[in-house]
Amino acid sequence: MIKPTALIVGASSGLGKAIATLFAEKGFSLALVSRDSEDLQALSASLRAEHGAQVIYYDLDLLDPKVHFGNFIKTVNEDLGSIQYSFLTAGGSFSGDEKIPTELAFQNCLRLNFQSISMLMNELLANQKLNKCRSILVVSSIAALVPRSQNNTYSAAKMALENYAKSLRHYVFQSRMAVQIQVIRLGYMDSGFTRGKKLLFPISQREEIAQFIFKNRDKDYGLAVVPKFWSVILFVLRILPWHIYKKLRF
Amino acid sequence: MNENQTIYSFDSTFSVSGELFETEKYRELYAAMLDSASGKKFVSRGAGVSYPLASAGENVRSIVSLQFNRILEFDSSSGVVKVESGISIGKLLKFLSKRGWWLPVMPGHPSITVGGCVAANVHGKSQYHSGLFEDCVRELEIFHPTQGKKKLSKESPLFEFVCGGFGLTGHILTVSIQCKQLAGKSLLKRAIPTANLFESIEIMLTEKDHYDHVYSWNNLNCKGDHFGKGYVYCEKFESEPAKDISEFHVLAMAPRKGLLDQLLSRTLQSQISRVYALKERISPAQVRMGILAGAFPINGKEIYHRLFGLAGLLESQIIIPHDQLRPVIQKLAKSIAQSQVKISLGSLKIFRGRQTNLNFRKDGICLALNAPNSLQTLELFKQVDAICIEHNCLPNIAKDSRLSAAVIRSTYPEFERFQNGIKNFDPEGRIHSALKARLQL
Repeated sequence: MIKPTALIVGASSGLGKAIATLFAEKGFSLALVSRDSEDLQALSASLRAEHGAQVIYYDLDLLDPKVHFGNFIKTVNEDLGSIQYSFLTAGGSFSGDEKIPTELAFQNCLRLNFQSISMLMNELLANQKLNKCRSILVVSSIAALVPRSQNNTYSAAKMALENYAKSLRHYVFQSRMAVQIQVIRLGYMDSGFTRGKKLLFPISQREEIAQFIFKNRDKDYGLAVVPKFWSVILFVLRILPWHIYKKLRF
Repeated sequence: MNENQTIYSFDSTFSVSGELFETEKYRELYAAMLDSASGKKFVSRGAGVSYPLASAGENVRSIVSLQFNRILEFDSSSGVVKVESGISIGKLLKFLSKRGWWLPVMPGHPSITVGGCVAANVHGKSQYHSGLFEDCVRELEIFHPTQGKKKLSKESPLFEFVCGGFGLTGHILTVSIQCKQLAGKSLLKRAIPTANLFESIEIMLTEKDHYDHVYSWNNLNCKGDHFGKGYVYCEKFESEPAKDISEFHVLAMAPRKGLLDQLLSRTLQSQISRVYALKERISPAQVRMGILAGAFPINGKEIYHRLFGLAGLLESQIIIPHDQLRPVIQKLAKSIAQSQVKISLGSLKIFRGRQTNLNFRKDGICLALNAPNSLQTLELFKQVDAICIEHNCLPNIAKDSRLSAAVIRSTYPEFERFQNGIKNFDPEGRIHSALKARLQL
């Protein structure tokens, strides 16, 4: 029996790692991507040993402007046979991205969180017939809706990513392509950013979020806020008048 | 990097102000250790259940390995498994037992990490049969900021300082373990009532070659001829399957200062032995357990540590040479009776092997004592130290958070050899811990 296939970009840690583990457990063949090859090597080895999964991995730095995403997707497609599901989870904030961000933080933050992910989506869709692509998921953040004086570029990049994904979703519908474009807007999740911090709202486990992604992998939900209670919080923050919002410290 | 916070020893008897650093990326792991060049000392930390606080120190960065918890290779024909050091023995045994293999040496709770087992060179329920953890380790990989990454086999000179080295040789990255084929699908536990400590020892020595595990529970609060009245447990693998535990519990970490902890410690602490004896009296003499339930007797009994509240518990574990059993036990009985300390737990195991470095290994009988942390208990345990020195007993560094450098120097003949070995490998002292400071290593 031919196994379903998935590409996970940003697989060495956080949500990407949790998705890789769950999909390996469910019998998917995986292509894992990250710039941390030692982590990928260990993850691949464990998915093979613990779940008997077929795993290939690629050392790729999304911050490198020389990366040719078209060639990369072509290589993965050849190695894996097809790319049915794509989870583009790579992202993150940079030091210096606060107040008036440094040029380097600004460029890196945009490249990692918006440009590279969007270009990967473009290439996946451009070769959709070849890839047998069924869904492409990108990860946004609650920060996209509530900008503040920290992680300025990060929240702007995530907002841009949401909009871009929506444009592609519209294009996919118009051109009758059988691909789902999914965006999840993440609340607090256990990761290097939240570990050890005292936060106002509960932190979700990445395994729970991976479960949500697995269950809904073929659904045309567009954008989902995960966990759901963040929708209420975001709604309240969005309707706050500026004279109150500007005083918030978060 | 993070700010300092209060880190407690698992027995809750003392704390330090140190940094907890946790990552899931190797790049950041190495960077946190390389940062020691700036003067920030570090030590590795697993599940954080070290009694003597070997995994933290004053103003030390504790590098938590829990995110590195993967099984990297498994050879189902030879039974060799290679894992990252942050994997818990519970997760590992679940994986192995499904494939017909078993970890020969395991401490009692599934949350303890493999790295922690190596660093403390732990023993299991049956040191007599299986030795210490190092005996099942085939290969190790460690990282030290000035020495880099090192792959160590049993023949490597550094191997003996990593196993039982309390993390003072660097961060353990991976461990290759030689597993044992499972001899059955369940464990049959037989409880034999005994009149006193001497009878327990006699039965254990008689039965040791007929069973896979032999150990005991003893009530050390009984006086006279009944001192150490209790049960000897003899366990054997059986082919018949048994219902097993489906989930592992989390140990109650210190400080245990919640309202429930305070309530439990005030009302039940002095009754622990009595309650256990009563439970054993009404329990069947034979119990069949699943593999995981048999492997981890403490799983599900996490309330035990909460019974000691904020003040915590003190544990003393000593190996008494066979020829010293009578005088040592007589002196202990006298000291306990005079101290009026309520001993919460007394237990025996049979040990054997040559004592080396700081390893808890010697021919004799291992006696473990638990008691609430108090001035009386500290005074009693001082007497235990004196008995140890006088009668050539060996105290367990990994289980006793108050042992002094002087006691260890007097009881561990290879103390200086170990000290030199550590100093030669880490001359700048980049690695530091509360244990290292106390033992003046």
